[in-house]
Amino acid sequence: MLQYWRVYLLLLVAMGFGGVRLYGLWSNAGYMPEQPLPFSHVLHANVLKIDCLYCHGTAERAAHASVPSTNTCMGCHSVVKRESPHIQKLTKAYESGEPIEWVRIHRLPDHSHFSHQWHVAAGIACQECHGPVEEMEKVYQVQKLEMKACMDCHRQDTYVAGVHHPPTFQGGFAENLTSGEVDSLRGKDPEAWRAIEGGTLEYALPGEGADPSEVAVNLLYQRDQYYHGRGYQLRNKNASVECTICHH
Amino acid sequence: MTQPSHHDHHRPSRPAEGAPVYWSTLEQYFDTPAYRERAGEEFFPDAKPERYFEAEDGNAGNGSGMSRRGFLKLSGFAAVMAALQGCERPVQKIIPYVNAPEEITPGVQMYYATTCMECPAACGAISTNRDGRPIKVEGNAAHPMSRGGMCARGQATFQNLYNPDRVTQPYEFSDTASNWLPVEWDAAISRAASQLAALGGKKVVLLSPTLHGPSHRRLLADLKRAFPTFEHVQFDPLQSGADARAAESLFGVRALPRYKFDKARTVVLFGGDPIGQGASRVEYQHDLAMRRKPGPEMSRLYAFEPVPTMTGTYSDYRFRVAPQHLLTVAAAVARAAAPGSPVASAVPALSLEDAEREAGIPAGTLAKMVERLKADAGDSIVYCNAANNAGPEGETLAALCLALNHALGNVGKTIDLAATPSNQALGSHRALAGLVGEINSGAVGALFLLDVNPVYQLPETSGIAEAIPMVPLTVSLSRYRDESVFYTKLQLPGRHWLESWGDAEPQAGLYSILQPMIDMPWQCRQWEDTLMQLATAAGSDVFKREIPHAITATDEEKAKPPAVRAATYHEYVKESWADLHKRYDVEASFDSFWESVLRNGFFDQAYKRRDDFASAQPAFKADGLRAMSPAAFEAKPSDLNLVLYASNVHGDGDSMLMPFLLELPDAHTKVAWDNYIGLSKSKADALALETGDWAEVSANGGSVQGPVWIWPGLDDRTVAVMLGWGRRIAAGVGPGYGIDATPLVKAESNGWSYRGAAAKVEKREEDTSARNPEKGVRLGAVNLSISNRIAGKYPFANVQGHNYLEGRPIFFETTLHQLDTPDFEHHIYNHHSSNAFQNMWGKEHKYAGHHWGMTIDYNACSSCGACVVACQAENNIPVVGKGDVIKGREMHWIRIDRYYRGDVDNPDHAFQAMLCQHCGTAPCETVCPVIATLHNDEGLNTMIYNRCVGTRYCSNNCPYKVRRFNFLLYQDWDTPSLKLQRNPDVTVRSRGVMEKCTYCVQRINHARVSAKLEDRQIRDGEVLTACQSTCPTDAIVFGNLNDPESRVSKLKAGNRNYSLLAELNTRPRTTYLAIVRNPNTTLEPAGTARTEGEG
Repeated sequence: MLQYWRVYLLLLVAMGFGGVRLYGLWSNAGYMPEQPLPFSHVLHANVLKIDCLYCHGTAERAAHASVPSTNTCMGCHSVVKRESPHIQKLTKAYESGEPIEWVRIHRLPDHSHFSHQWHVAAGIACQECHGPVEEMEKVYQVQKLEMKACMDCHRQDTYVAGVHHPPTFQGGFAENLTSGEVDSLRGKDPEAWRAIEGGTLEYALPGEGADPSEVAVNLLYQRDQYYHGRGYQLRNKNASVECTICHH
Repeated sequence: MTQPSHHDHHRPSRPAEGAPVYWSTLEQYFDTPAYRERAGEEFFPDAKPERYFEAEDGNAGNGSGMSRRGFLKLSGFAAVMAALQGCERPVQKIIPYVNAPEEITPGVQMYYATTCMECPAACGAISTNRDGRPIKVEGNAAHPMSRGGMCARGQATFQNLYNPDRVTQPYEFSDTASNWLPVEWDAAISRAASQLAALGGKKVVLLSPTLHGPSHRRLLADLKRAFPTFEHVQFDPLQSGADARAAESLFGVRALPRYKFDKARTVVLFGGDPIGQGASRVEYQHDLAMRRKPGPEMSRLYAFEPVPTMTGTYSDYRFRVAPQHLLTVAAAVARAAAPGSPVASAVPALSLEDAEREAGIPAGTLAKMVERLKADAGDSIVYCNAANNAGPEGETLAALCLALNHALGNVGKTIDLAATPSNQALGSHRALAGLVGEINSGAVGALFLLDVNPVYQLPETSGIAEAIPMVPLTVSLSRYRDESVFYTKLQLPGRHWLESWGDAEPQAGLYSILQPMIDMPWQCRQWEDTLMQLATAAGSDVFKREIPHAITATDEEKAKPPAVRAATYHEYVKESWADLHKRYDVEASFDSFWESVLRNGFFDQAYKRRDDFASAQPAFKADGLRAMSPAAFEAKPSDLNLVLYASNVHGDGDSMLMPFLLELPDAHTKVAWDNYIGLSKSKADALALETGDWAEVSANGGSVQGPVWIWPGLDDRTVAVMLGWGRRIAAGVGPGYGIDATPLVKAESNGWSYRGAAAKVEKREEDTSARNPEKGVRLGAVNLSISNRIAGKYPFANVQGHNYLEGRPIFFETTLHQLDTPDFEHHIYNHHSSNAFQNMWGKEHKYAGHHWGMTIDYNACSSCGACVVACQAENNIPVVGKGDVIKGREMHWIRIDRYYRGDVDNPDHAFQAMLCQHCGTAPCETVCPVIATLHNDEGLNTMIYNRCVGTRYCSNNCPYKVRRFNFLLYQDWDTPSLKLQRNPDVTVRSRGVMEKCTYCVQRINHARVSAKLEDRQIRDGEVLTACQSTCPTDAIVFGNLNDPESRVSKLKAGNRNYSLLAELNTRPRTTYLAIVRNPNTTLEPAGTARTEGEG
């Protein structure tokens, strides 16, 4: 075993760098790719005050907020600003039947399903997740589209308006577990559970000779830390979000 | 399991120790060491991936603790990680429509009505389309025939539609290159058309299975106008036409009887299997189940059969008889049940006692049965399904049963011959036999093969393989390169029914429409279009239509005569429906009629006659009974008799292209990926054969070799082989699986007979080099190596031996007479009354909103397997292949367990659909170290794939064994056409992840969205799980337990409800309704009935 220590060290370092990099790939905030046409949201959404849903209308009917089809553009641009070379390019593409290949900016991580329809219906403004698009000449990604972004809202009582979930979120670690998670912890380690309930258990990383009862709780806590940066709790039991609403 | 455990007292006792109880395999029955070894194991030794980490280079002892292979793996991973530092996130494109179709919203499901054409039964179907591609079909609940049910075959249809092995453009066999070369459609059509034009009076023949749509009828008539020598030959390999011929000789109408099992209180089956092999299986399944609801109207079923069939094992009484004795028993029953009737005097003088003695039926049984039959005259059905048995025996049995039905007054009450007869199997073996003769005499100039594969389906002795090449123009319209295509010269590939226009008329007066859901980017045309274009190119005007001028046409253009071309089949179907519109004098305009037909999927003009058809029946002609062959009654069983049977899943072999169906275990033997030579235990002992031994069956001058399967419930004098296997050429998956039984088929003067010949079985040495080669199979199945041989035997992928419940009480049954007695409840572990167990967590879950639950009714379930395939299609469940099934790695989220009860040779059957029970206090949740499986507030036991790290602890701790682990990457992530098949609402799992039934949580979420947007609660019945939705018998009910008015709550409140392994206090949300059998009280004293549930 020992004769390979250099190899192991190298492997570990390589994996560490790779992991950091991979995390960066997931978050993707600030991504601002070149688009095939220099469409300006400042002009359309800010100056001309065209409603977002005029082009991204499926956001209120479907999970996707799709990019408009070319005929939506041509609805105006068959008349408006026909002299612009970009519009000429657009017209040419429309007439030849070639779709325009926009570059995708917002992309959810794997294993998650998200519905625009629900959020539009709940009156969430587009900007809350997408940032001030109407001020963007060139669109870029504002939010890190990771679970924390969802949970930051869904942990707040203003957003948890489900019929069966009165908005009364408060409290610490234990209160924010689902009944399933509570059972899970209790079953694993009743002693640790009593400590949590009594508020006597500190969150600490397990060190040498750590009490196994602490390990169970700490594992959960660390997992949160690892995945979600700021240690948000597993799930708000008052929130209207079940794991399976997004993960199925 | 060598240590004694707390549940040892539940272990099944061996026969010597007392009354036999539920058992699942012969190993368990005889308590062999192999059983004992396996019973305690969660995962098979082969399935455990740990073995991969053991050193494979023999250097395990080098002290490093790490094998070379392990090191390479690790360093590979590190290299990938390091390489990631240099890469960006892959750029994805969004490509919107140029002109967005108005009705499509990306990501929103659309539902269209159409008609399933997987078989000529033509059930109503609803296709779920997503972004322009169909992803799921369900039964059309409004369809008056199939009523929402869909069979396993229909559910697997996407593997036909998106099959990457489909032929995607025309091919022509080039003699010079002696190979198939691609050819352009136009060239192929014009060349074939010029040959057709120059036939010089020779016949043009279309060979197809049953076609019954109004447009098909019109098309065939029009083809006859286009080619005066045109002839249509209908051939359904498994439907000999004997039933229709019996109707013709006895009633003067050539029609397939339509059976109304929902009207029959007593059903007697003489080798018949309406729900497994009948012409309209989904309909029969539904109807039979409707009369199996416990109560005064509950039906009683008697089955006499050599091989366990789906209906037979669903019956109250099942008697094993040799194939020849079916006629003996039927004759005796006819004499006793209808004395003085024409049929009684036309059969040999046989008393019931003689028949009982001869056929080996317990004395006194038949007399009691006949009593019932007489009492229920006009309220019963005698069913024989002679369909797959041409020859004197089949014809005689068909005539006898129909005449007996008439004598009992059933024709007109439970059987309809004339009002709205069935059209679902009009084919006839005779016609095909005639065709071979005509080809040999040189009378046929052109032959079109449509969806038939006679070269495989018929024995070599039929001469069809020699005949086809003698025809000057041979065209295959098949979608695949099958065996028969290689005997033709031109392949003009057809389309799948989800890509086609069309219609069907499964019952006279019930018109059902097909509309295309997708246009695959392939050069395929539906065969109707091909033939119309051919006829037009050959100079016929029949199909020519003028193209009207466009609205935008200029006056100058309008002045010109309109262009003329062959009609498309879409236009043609519309014309046919315009005829229907006129014929039935529909009030609405044609356009609104057409719209409504497309919306509903059917146009029902049979509704008046469907249930009330007494007056319409033709008169009985007693001389028709002369069609019965006296010699057939004389036939005596030999020592061993052949029965070739078909299953509802595999039929005549088309299933070999659909891996879902190959991996679906057989309903009775629970063997997947194979057929076998079936023998009863006694017979196998006498022949010194064991399961897995290699043997040769010979009969009718032919012989085939294959592995032996010892099959409890099989008649002792019968050797059974399933048809449809051993394809020589089936694209992709099929070839090499199973044995081809067609050499054993007997040629009769009027067709082919699959039953009754004397057979011989001898042990042989297997040539193991000829075993299924290891191959990478598309459609999601990889790693098909089956090198692990078990003690020199042929390896079977038998899933019933994979998990043993070790004698825990899991299956309960009772009889109708004892249903209300307290004694019955005593045996039920009721969800509501078993609180003797302490909750180890001290706190109860609260389900404030919805609380989902399910019931499964054993009385309805006929073990057809539709739910298994529906679940696979809905939830993107992969196929793992035979090798991995053997290792216990099958992925089915729902399975149907089969248990035997009683004697090893003649057991009762019990079926149990098994899926995640969604326990209230789930053992799996507690042991997950990463909380990947957890309880949610609606009672679901959820599975979060991205949390799962693959410890498999949950599966270990699951008492129901319903969790499935992706040991390998089973999904095919690369083949483009397969990506279209997947349900975008369900994560496509990779390897290393545990998965299981989710109660179709994506469907719950769909309902939740619409309910929330409309600000209301989810309605009862709004969420249908995939298994529930497809179930032809309505055995599965799902809903909200918090709503006392929901269907599922009411069912759970009934006294048949029990939860599985309630004593473990898992509090399952899925509960079962105990089976209620309906024995004859005069036959069995009530006290001896089967109430004991202890397994």
